[in-house]
Formats: sequence, structure tokens, C-alpha cells
Amino acid sequence: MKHYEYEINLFVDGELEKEKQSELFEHLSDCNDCQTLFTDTLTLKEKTRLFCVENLNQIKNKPKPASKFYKIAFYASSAAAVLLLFLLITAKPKETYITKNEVRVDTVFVEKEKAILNEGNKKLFTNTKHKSQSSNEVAFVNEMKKMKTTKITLSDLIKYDVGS
Amino acid sequence: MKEEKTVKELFSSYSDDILNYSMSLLKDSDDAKDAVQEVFIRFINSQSSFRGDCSYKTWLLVITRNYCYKKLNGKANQPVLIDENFQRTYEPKLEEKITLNDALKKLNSEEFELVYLREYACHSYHEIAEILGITVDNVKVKLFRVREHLRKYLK
Repeated sequence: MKHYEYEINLFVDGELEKEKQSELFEHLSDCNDCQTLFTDTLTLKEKTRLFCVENLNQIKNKPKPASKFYKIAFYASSAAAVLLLFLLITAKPKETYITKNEVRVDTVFVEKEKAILNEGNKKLFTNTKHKSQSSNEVAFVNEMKKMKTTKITLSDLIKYDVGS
Repeated sequence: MKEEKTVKELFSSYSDDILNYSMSLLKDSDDAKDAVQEVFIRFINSQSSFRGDCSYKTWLLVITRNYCYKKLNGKANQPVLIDENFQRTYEPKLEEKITLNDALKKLNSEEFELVYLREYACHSYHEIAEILGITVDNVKVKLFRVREHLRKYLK
């Protein structure tokens, strides 16, 4: 029996003449092979259309290839970020808290100035005022002059009885 | 009959068709966008020579095709011998593993163009024949052979 593959193909595309259509239908009612061929052609047509849609979408949404400069910049910046993070994690902060036996350096300077001022005043009044009372403070000032900028602890201040 | 249309009207109605068609040929969205511009520039330059024996759309698509093929290989409008083009050399046993999508990807540009124009852009055989510059019978035969080839991978 003659098969109608070519005509089925045309009919699916709506390009078969009307006279031939009835001939095709007659044949289709008898021939199982051509029936499966007909359904196959329809599914093929639909699948091909879907492929075209997908393919075009892929081309449309294809990510643009990044230029070399941006690639290098990206890697360099990410390396720098990792390095910074590493440094941040490993570095310990400088200890700034004060224990009860310590005095801040700036307060020491202030105290030192005070002490020198006091000493100057005392020099003015050495002849008139009592020497014995300020002997402690003079000793402290002398000590301070020796020390210059070395650290002074609270215990030192207590020891020389400053500020009382 | 030649009916007058402004370039603006043509652009709004057919620019998408041209974009999709050039994308299917060039496989690149940026190139395809360039192609749309180039096609309309060519159209404006050669508008006076349009005889009106086909529709504007068909003519624009012919310009698109010529431009795209020139861009690809400089092979625009070369006659293609069907039998040479459609011969398959690999063994039928190997074909079993290939899915339909793989088979579609393996189609050459001529075959894919035909499939695209028919299944996606839904052109009639007459329009396809005008765009590709071949006869309607030739289109029928080519499409039939492509489908015959693809049907093997359907299952």
C-alpha cells in the first residue's frame, strides 16, 4: 500500500490542497502506520518549536564574557579582602586598660607640672614658711626630675603623698 | 500591489522578527541587535529599488539573511544542493543515544534556518521560498527531509 508521508508533512503545515486532503483522510482511516506517523509529525513539530524558543532565549540571556581588566581587578580585590580579614582576625588590640597600680601617662605629666609648680612656689617662700612640712613633696619632685618621662604608678603617688 | 509604509511602522512591526531571525543565524544577541540596525539602514538606502513583488516583511528578512550570512562567512544566497547537504554518514546504532534536542543542535545552519522559519516564525512555504531564494517545491522537499531525519530521534 502506498504511504502518505509527504502529504502528511504538507498537511501538518497547512499546505496541502483540499482535493488531496480528503484522499489523505481516507487513507489515514485505514493505515495504522500513517496514523502514528501523523501523531509523530505533530509532536516533532511542537518539540522543534519549543527547542527554537529555548535556543533563542539562551542566546538572548547569554552572560557577557568579562574583559581581562575586570577579571584581574576582581581577583586582586578579593585577595586583598581576604588578606585584610586575616589581619583583622589575627591582630590583637594594644592593651589600653589601666590596672589599679597604673596611671595614664598624660595624668602623670599633669601631676608632674603641678609638682614643679608647687616646687617653684616653695622656693619663693622657703625663707618664710616651714621647711619640714614640704620635705616630702620636695623629695618627690627630685624623684620626678630624675624620672623624666618614665611611667609613674599610683603607688608612687601614694608613697610621696602627692595631692594631699 | 505596493502599499506605502513608513520606516517607523515597519520597525515597530518587524524589528522583533528580524532580531529573532538574526539571532537564530548568528547565535549571538549583541550581533543580532547590530544586525537589526544594519538591516534598517540598508532598507532605507535601497528603498527606491523595492519593486513590491513581495511583502515588506519578506524583503526585510531577505536583507537580514544576506547580512547575517555575509557576516558569518560571506556565503549569502549560495545555491545549496539538497542531496549533498542532507546526507548523513554516521551509523544508525550511534543515533539511538542521541536525543531530539541534540539532533536539532547538530543541524547545519541551512537546515536550522528552515526549521526556525517554519516552526518558530510560522512563515508559509511561499514566504520561506522567497526568503531563502529557492522554489516552493524545494522548500517542501527540504522540510520533508529534515523532518524525516529528526523523526528518528523522537523516541
